[in-house]
Amino acid sequence: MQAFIEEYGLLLLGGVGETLFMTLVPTLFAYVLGLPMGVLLTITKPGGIAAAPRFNAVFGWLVNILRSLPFMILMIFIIPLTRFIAGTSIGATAACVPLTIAAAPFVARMVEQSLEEIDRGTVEAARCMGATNWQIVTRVLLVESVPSLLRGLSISTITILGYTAITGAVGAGGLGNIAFRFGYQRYQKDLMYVTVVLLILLVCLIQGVFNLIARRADKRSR
Amino acid sequence: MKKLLSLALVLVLALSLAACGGSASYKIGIPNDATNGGRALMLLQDLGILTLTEGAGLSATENDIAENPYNVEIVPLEAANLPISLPDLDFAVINGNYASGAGIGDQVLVTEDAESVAAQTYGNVLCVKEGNENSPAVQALLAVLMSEEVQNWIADSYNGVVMPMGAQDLEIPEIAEPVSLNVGASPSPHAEILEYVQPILAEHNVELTITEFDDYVMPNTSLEDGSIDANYFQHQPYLDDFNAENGTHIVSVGTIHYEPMGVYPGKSDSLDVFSK
Amino acid sequence: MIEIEHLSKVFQDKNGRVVALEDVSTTIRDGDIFGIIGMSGAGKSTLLRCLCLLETPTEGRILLDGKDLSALRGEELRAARRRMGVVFQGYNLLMQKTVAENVAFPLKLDKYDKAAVAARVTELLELVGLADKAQSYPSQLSGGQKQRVALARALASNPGVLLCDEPTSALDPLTTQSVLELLQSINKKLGVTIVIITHELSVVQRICNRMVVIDESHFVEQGDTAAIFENPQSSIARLLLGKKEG
Repeated sequence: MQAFIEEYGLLLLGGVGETLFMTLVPTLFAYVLGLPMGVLLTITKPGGIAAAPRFNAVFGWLVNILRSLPFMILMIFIIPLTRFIAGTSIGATAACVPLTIAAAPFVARMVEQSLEEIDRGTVEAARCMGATNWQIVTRVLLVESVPSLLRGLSISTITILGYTAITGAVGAGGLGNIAFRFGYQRYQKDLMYVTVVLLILLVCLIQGVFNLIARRADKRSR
Repeated sequence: MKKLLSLALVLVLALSLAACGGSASYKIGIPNDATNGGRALMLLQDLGILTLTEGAGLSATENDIAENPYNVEIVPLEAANLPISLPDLDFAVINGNYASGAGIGDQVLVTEDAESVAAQTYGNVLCVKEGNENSPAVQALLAVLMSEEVQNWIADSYNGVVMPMGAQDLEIPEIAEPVSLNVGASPSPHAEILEYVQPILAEHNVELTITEFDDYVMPNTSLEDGSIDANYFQHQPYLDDFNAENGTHIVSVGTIHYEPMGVYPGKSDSLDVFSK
Repeated sequence: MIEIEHLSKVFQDKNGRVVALEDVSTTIRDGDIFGIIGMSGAGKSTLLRCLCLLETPTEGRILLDGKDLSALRGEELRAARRRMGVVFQGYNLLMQKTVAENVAFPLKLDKYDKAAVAARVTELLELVGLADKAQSYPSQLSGGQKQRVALARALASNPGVLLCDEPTSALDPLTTQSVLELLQSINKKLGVTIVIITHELSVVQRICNRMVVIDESHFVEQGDTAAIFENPQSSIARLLLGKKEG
């Protein structure tokens, strides 16, 4: 046990750090992109407050196409963009670019789903009171959907954590990469198991924290 | 609630900034898989760029570096991604086939030589099912492949990406009646080499049929079940592994060529930076 | 004063045309408590939605103090909407905001003064008898209390007209009574015109001074409540009243 920590402790610590970094940063930027995308998808639906059926159809298709690209292919595809943004195409920072772009459409759909759950009557009441579309979005839709958005955030974060395992292909490190390269390929089973356990702990931690926040933020259950 | 979110935001931004710290050392990319990663590190060791720990051998990883006098940073990447990542690296050690596939084969600075442990170990072999080693057609094929003419042709045709093991003078058996020989091969360079020797074999009454395979399992399974007579696509370690995993009885009759890994230039274009 | 002139509303869906309202006309005077009664599906909700401009009429006009509401756009439309308060059957409160924040909502849509808004919210909550619930959340309130909050919110911007869509249909008789009393007192104290949509005869009888009966997208009878109750002309009115007496 002692020997194990001595040999792999630093490697694993680095791996945890890299995994966290490659999970939290892309999640943040995926929401920066995906939240407005989700709002657009919702309000431009037929019957929405800014209905634009053709735009909605085209935009919806774009989102679907982005979601269909296998992550590995997407990573390679956008290398020029990654270089432009991160200065390089390799490493954990660079990997955040394809991670963000892959996650943004997923987040958009989750946000859309959260907004769809809001009672139509609440939106109509706001319209009756003379609210502008912007006010409806910011003061009704995004307010009433907060608990649902937080639960979606939990799901999105863990999904992105799953993607980070593939980023080893661009030298990004992380726990998944360690498990695969050192644990599986080089038959160091104990290392592989430890890495998996660490990943499980990370997931449980993230899930637990977000669920707690969502519950406490929901004013309907007081 | 808002405080918590602000805290999270600050944390994430802090992490981003921390990651932005660059390093001044040379970045050398190597394949991240067990087989090729070790080979790459051994090549770097042979070039005097670093020293591996005692006994690390062909399964070495970047964690087995004992001495690193030039403060080189080893960046393990997916082997097929190395060519495309060159602009972000100083150098990269790349398999010949990926390099030539990416069109950078002729930029190679240095390759493994035929005497090296890696070349000897990873030479590509001509294989048959156990028991068929002495079939006249197979022996003829082997002799032609190892002839000086063909070995020289290999050296001249692939710009260093594919290298001959070295000519051997083998006897080509006399074959009275025309025999057919069906050989399974990967498209490049194996099938191409076979195409080159096809007319030569025809002169010796062997009618060579080339069956191309895109994967690395079917050539062996087809050989085992008799659909083909021989195959030419793998190296000995892979064959040994395959026999062990699948209970097949395939043997090599000779090593024809090796595909060296080479050091290719990225942001830096000369290995002179590593001379003391 | 609200004038409804030959209003028609036709919906087009994949199954064809649905005529919700056909050529209906009436006048609602200032200070009236005006009841609109009919069976489910008769067109009551559509009428209310046209009045508060959630739907545009297919034909005809709605005039508020002489101005044609259906011709309004953009800023004018929003201004007109703020002159009408709406109370919904489902309350439609923001569940994630406190009672006070809900009531303040319409006041914050334009530039506002913090202190003035706070004072107004307190005033309104006192009016509806919920001053002590200002910091509570809707999930902590009963149906009747939620309806009062909705009422306070509807009155926030000092509207001249209050539109109520089945305001007591989801409430028990005792709570209904208190909400109706509140509506009456608001009408008396503030002079707000109230339009009530309902299918409950008792509501109309209790507080509406004038009424209209809708049957299958038509106004079949209209006038003073007392007169109609005494002498119903249309068959549906007779049916409704007959049901009540029986």
